[in-house]
Amino acid sequence: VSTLAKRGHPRGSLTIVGTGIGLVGQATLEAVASIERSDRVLYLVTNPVTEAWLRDLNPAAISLADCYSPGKPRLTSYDEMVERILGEVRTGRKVCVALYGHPGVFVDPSHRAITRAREEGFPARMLPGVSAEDCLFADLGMDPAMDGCQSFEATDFLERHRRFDASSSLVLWQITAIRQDSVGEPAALKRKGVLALRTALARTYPASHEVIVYEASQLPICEPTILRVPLRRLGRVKLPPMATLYVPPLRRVRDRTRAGSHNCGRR
Amino acid sequence: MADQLTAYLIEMAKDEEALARYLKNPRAEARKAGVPEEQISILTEGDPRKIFEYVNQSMNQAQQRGFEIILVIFKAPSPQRSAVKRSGRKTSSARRPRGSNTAARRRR
Repeated sequence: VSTLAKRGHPRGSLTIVGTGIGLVGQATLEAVASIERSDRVLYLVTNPVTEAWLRDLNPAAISLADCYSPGKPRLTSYDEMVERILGEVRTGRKVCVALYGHPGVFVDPSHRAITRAREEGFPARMLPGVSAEDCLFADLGMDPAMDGCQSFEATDFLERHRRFDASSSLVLWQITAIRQDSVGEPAALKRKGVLALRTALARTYPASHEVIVYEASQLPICEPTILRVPLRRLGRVKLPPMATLYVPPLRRVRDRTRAGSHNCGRR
Repeated sequence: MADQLTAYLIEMAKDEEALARYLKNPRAEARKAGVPEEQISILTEGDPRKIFEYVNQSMNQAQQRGFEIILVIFKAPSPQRSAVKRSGRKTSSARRPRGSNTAARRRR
């Protein structure tokens, strides 16, 4: 490939952008410009309205959704996505990949595609976008500066027995896909994962501790989903497909910690 | 653009005033924007799943597809790598059972 570039062939490039979670409005100006000015746009979004908008911005936009199929391991799908992205770059095109949310937050193929493109000598960069966590901070009125904030992928949290500080906020991502390796896993598996998460959290938090099931709104006319439930009821409430779990700090621990640090300051 | 409903949703996402007008008077504003009655009924229900399903169906058959979220897949850690520090010695935290964080210990 580098030989082709040396011979004067057009040099491919890769830019990966985020479309945000909310429809259209959360795409940054630089992301929109990149989509419009690229020779090829590859995209993966969660709704057909964003898809229509992308195809309107750039008629050369192609979906990566067909990399998925029921029962196919997600990692295989992601390998395919990376190969397709790199394939387009290698032809010398200026390629833009548009992914929903922030393209580098909880997204596997975007980072791999950038690493591979750079290894092969192509310019590659990622532009930040609005992630689900950004929406959560805004919708729940939660400032991570107040108590700190720990963020974990839910399966990772369970399998690696992550240690966390209960006096600080806890955000658990992908709670509807715990231990799911492929698309179209049965609903029973989803519930089993959530129950395992509840059991794990119950080792630290009381059953009455209020947790928040959150899903950002994708449409301007809709409100975000904010379900406040005691921990004991997690697993009984219907979860929206892209739910994130927010676990507020344990007040008792938090207050004690604050008092402790105040006393330290006096000394 | 796929249809009037899609175009109108995008317009509202871009234009706060158009959104405010819709929220105040949904049916009349949607009608003014040229959205057909059938689509207005779906829009005013306010259920994003139904709206997306309708838009998806109204798109060309060849374009129709499911919308799957992208995930980070958990990769099982290599026991050696997770439990051994750079120095090659096991850390005490690696051996410590789950839930033994400071806060949990205090609560007990």
